[in-house]
Amino acid sequence: MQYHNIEYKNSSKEQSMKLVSAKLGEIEYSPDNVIHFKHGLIGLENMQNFLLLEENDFAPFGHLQSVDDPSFTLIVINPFLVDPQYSMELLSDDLESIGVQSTQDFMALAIVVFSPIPEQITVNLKAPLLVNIKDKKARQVLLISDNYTVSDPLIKSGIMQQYKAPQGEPR
Amino acid sequence: MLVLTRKTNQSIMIGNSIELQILRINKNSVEIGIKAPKNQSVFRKEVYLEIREKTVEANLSSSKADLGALADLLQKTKKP
Repeated sequence: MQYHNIEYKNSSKEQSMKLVSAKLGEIEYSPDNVIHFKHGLIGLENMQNFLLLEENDFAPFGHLQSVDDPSFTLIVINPFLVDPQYSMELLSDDLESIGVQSTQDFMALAIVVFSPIPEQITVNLKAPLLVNIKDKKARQVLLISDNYTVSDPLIKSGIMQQYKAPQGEPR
Repeated sequence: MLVLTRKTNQSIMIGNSIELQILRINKNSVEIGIKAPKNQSVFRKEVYLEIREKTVEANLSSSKADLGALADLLQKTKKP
């Protein structure tokens, strides 16, 4: 199942490459599927190339594995799942910068800060990652809206609304 | 650090394409207009640092993450 409707290409054998992620182990990938941030992530300019890895067991979360640094792995989620009313204002310049002409052609990812206590998991809805699903050009953008922060709680939001703390635990 | 003195409405050029104009000077703050090409991101520095810090924290947190357990929890709570 693909939560993030990126267009994957099947790699031919001679094209296939490998990296060993500190978190995820050995990953074989096709260079065609590398997501490229021309300017890197905000504040981390050297982090330019990533793989989006999705597993059914982890849905709706995915991993964004750095190709540049095997020890750098982010957990990501579609921000529209986190907040069904999520809106990204003034995107035309940002979309243009990754060659996107229509809203059909890109996907958004929000970076998750994980905690073993679900109530403390946060999502960066203020600075999502935009990815052109066709050519994998990407950019991290800053939204103007004051409705979002870099650490919005995951629990209070859409997808987690139905979450209830396990019985017997203090609320 | 290069230090320049400017008056209201005067500008500074950075390279050929970035212009900073002093728009208004208040007691404790300055209003600055910024003209930059679309591919240049402009941030308040504290916001820039905050975003970087969160991304670094996200990477550190991912090594301890048990996403399978969390995904299970979500699946369970979705069922009636």
